[in-house]
Amino acid sequence: MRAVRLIVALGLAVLVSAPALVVVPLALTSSRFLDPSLESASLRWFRSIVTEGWLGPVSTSTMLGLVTAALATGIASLAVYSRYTLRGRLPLLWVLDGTVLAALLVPPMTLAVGYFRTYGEGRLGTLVLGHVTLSLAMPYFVLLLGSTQLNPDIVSAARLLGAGHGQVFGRIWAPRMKQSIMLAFFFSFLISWDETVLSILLTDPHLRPLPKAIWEAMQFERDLTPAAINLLAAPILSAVLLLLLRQSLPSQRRQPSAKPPSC
Amino acid sequence: MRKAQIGERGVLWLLLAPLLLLLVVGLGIPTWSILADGLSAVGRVAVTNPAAGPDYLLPALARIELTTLRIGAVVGIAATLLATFLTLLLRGVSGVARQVVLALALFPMGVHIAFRVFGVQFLLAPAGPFGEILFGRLSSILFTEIATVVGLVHWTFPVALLVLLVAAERLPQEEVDAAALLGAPPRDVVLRVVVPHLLPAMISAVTLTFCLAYGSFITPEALGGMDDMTVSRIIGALLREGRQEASSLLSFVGLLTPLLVFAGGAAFAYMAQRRLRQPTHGV
Repeated sequence: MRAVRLIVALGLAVLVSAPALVVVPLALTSSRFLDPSLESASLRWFRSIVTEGWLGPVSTSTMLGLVTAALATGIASLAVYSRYTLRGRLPLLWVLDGTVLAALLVPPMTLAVGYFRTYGEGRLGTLVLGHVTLSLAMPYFVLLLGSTQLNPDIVSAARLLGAGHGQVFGRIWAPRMKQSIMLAFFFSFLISWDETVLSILLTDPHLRPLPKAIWEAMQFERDLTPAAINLLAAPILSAVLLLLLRQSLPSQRRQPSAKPPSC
Repeated sequence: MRKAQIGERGVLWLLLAPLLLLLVVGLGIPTWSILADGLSAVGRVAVTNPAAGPDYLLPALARIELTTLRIGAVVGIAATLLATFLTLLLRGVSGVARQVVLALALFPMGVHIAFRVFGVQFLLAPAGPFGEILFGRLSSILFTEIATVVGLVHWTFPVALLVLLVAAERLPQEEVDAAALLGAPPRDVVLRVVVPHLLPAMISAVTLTFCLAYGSFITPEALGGMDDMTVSRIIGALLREGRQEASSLLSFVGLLTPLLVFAGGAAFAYMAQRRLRQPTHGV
């Protein structure tokens, strides 16, 4: 029975992920066109990551992702620590939670229109601001969820013994929240790495993050190097996500018994 | 002592300042500019002839909004049901097998949206693997609402799965074991113990995936046709034509709808959670 469930689960996972798995033959084809039939295989697109100027967009997006993740996680950490210490039924904190959530729910196109009208286009700072705003909700709620598993007595004891907020945050709260902080950082990075709408609408030809470069390459169907980049990045990102989830989620529960015990 | 308490609270509220500043600068000011622009555009519609141009025709806007709501609802429900089904299948599966299934299910998160969309196009084309098997008798479903829904379900499925996985980790295993020990068949254990505990997370997942699908631009633009225009697609088209006021008006609608839907979904999830905590009376 368990084997049947596993096979069905595997089939479902493959079915739902099938469109993304098309990137595998695209990265290995020798054809210049979007044809995943794989009549002849080649590693040319992997070589062209280095030879055709794709390292620039990759490094731009990587730096952008790291800066976004650092800012979003840092701001969220301070806010969640403060919220954790202020704990109580304060309506203002619920309003704050709702506002942070709104940043996740706002359609990126709507935000792009607002940014375009307010801050203009072509500035790296605007793009960073947009990415941090869009990715803020994930680290905030991941950390909020992680903080519910903390023992509040430890923090209270530290405060009673005279520790300042800086000491409590740096020596008690953050070390105990390490797994959640890493997961929050990774989610922020992932959101920034894949964010396309702001990257297309708020940048100029001098500022070329990877999503914009991929979008332009796909429009002309002449360069499948992005497929190779995605084939290299996707397994790494999935593996890191799985590892962080395994470390963050409580998995101490025993498995359900297959049969009830006979008395 | 009181001064110390006020100072203490002041420091804590000060730690919230970066977040508040980011919300004001990153979300509040751009949103306000859309709101102001949108409201002024509505005012101009009320004064001038409403039939002055196609982008001010309220019935057309209502149709686009309804289409977007319909697509969002179908995607939200479909993605959540699939994620719930996979979560239930993975109960009791551990080790390498579980990790392989999850790695496959979460693999799309690392693939760029342009390739994922192309993948849907390839699979659903009349000569594609699924197009020929499933839709051989029908004309191509590419560039229709069905293709948009399929693409959005593929995109939002990992998000719904993550929400359900976290909820499944928090299942009260004692209740599940107690039901099994008392002789309940596996189907009843799942339907009457596990699913009710997952219900708040399912409502949250439906709401979240609805909001993501509602606001999506790339997937509907690449897979949809002229009969299933969505709010984001129209905003993109108006921006390309330089019609900033009209795009602001629609952005205002595009901003309000997911917020209202999420507020409703959060209320439902809260009620489901409360009902779960209430003790059942009688034997």
